[in-house]
Amino acid sequence: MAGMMGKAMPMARAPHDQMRFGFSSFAQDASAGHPLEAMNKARIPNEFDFKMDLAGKVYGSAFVMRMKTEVATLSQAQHLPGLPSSMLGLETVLGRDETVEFEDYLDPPADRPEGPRFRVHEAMEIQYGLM
Amino acid sequence: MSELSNVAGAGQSVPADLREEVLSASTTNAGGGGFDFENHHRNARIAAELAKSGKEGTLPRAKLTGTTICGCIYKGGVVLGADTRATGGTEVVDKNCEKIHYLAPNIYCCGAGTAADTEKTTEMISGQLDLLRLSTGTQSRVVTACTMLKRMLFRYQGYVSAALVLGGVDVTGPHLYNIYPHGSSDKLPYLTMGSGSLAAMSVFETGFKEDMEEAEAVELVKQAIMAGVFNDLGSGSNVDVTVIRPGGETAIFRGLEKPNEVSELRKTVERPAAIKVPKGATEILASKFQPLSSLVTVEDAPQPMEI
Repeated sequence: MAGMMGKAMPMARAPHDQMRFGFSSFAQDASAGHPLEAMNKARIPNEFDFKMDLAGKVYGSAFVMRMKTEVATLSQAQHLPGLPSSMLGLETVLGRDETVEFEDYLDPPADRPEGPRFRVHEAMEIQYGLM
Repeated sequence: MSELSNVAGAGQSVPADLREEVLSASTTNAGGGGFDFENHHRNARIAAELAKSGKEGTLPRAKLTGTTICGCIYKGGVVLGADTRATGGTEVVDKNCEKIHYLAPNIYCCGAGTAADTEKTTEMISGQLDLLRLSTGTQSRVVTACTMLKRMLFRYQGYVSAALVLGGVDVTGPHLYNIYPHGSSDKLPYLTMGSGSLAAMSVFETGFKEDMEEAEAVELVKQAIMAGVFNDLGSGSNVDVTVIRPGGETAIFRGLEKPNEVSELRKTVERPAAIKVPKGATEILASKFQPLSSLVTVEDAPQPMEI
């Protein structure tokens, strides 16, 4: 939906493309989607927290702190904004490099027709205050 | 998407949330793939519109499914059985489909529910088990497969419609699990699933004994599936049986029993001449043969340059 991105208040930034996205309604955009959608979004952090709870009980809190630090570090390491990042380190730490799930092959971001929201040049211009 | 033009346009102010996204740049991969819920609001709206005009419940519904699958434990091993009918609503869409899926060399899984869902679910878990075997270097355990399947099905809250009978033999002996689409499971010595499960269960309840011999167990499973084939409209055609023996080696009996085989009967039916067109019935008016060599010149392949 063109009018709504993220958790901000819905705001029309560009004329709504009815031919491509159908009729829009702010009430609909702000309302909750499919219950499964919300669950899926929260799944990876929830699973990690659950694992860390278990690990904390078995190996002690030092292990958990170390793991959380690693995850925090590897979540940051990225290419320049606007360039895709494989997040291989993060996937390895979370154990997601050894699994093949629906998320890995159904509608991956790289295969989407709409293209990136911003490119590296625009992103750098924003970052250095040129835009 | 149309936001890009906003960013690229010279002199235009950048929307605050996009600016924030660029600066934090941590969400690049967060919105990964998976199922698309785009049509959820649209469907809700259509349903509401229909309800408003008094046409409630006229939306197309998911097609009905039907199956008989079962399994039972015998002395040290497991026998799995399934019918071979695939239905789409009230029609039979496949008379000889496979419902016993491979998970690991020592673990097989019968699937009831949406055919695509059972197939994909078992295929994905089979891949997962394969990766696990490569990293651990040991035989897969049935309980591992069960946990993986449960977790995956629970994650999708029953929307992945796969009701499974999982059976296998590992180092801890034979195991048989029922896994329901919402992610719950049972562990029992004999199990049935699908719309024909009641018919099949009646056979097990009557004939099951502990520590049966293989032949006895195969016969019981065959009878259970036959009960489903003959008494449940969602099940039919043939009986497939897979035996996982005490060592973990498997024997697959595809089409063990074919009670509805009609090809012999069909051959005896005299068909009208109009649909029995003999070979060469169409008259050839002219024919011409031209060898390919008369059209092309074949040369030797060029020799690679000496280096």
